[in-house]
Amino acid sequence: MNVQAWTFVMVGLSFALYIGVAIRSKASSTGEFYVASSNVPPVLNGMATAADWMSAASFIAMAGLISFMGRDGAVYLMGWTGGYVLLALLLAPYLRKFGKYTVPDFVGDRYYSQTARFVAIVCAIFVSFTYVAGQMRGVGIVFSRFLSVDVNVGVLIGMSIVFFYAVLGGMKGITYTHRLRNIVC
Amino acid sequence: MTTKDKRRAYWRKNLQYLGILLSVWFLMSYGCAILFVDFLDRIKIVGFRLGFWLAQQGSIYVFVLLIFIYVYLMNRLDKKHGVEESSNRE
Repeated sequence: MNVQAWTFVMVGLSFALYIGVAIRSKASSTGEFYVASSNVPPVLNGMATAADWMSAASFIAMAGLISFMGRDGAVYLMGWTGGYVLLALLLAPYLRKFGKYTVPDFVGDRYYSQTARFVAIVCAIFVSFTYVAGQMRGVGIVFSRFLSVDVNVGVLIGMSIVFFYAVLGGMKGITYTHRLRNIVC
Repeated sequence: MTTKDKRRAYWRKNLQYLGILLSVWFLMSYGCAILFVDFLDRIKIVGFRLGFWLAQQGSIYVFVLLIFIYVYLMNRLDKKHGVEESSNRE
């Protein structure tokens, strides 16, 4: 078999694996959807977080940035990683102790205000949109090289696959697939 | 000590940990890797310039270490105040 055929087999198998995991870990309640019923073991959770760090953006964009900008690119690397420290020290423990799943939930309940909740939602969407735009571009480039299609078509294909397993499995599915990705990486 | 005092003590300790850990965080990333990088680059360790190494790898090791230290400290504090996870959760 040539390289092209091998890539198709490997990528096809890994997608089958991801989607199989998503179907097996189908979420059936809100708690399961957001936090996988809080029963993901810590080490596995850590592996999933690590896989998040090693995402499309870090493989494609971060490597490119550092090779283009030289040592100035290290700023992105440190911001990227340093953010995890802020997240772990300033955000995650309080969210967990408060018993809510999302930041808008926390803000709305803590300050007894629907307006504050709405502002938090807008911020959250804006921030994740910036992040997802970069990631999706990366996914599109990978798919366009792999299936030799246009980048925009690649984005659509990647998006539908991610959509499928994220909606179906919720946090549980995502944690499991991230863990698989960590092992693959 | 009343409950209120206890809570205040807990929170003060929490802020203290945060202050120390985040100053290390700031010093490592902004300080060592950006502000004092030229000074640190004069030191070479096994062929690598220290400032450059800190920016690319060293700071990340420190970040991970900081999170571990924070988790250890907070678990200890939670246990001391009797609010650790296992007794707190249903």
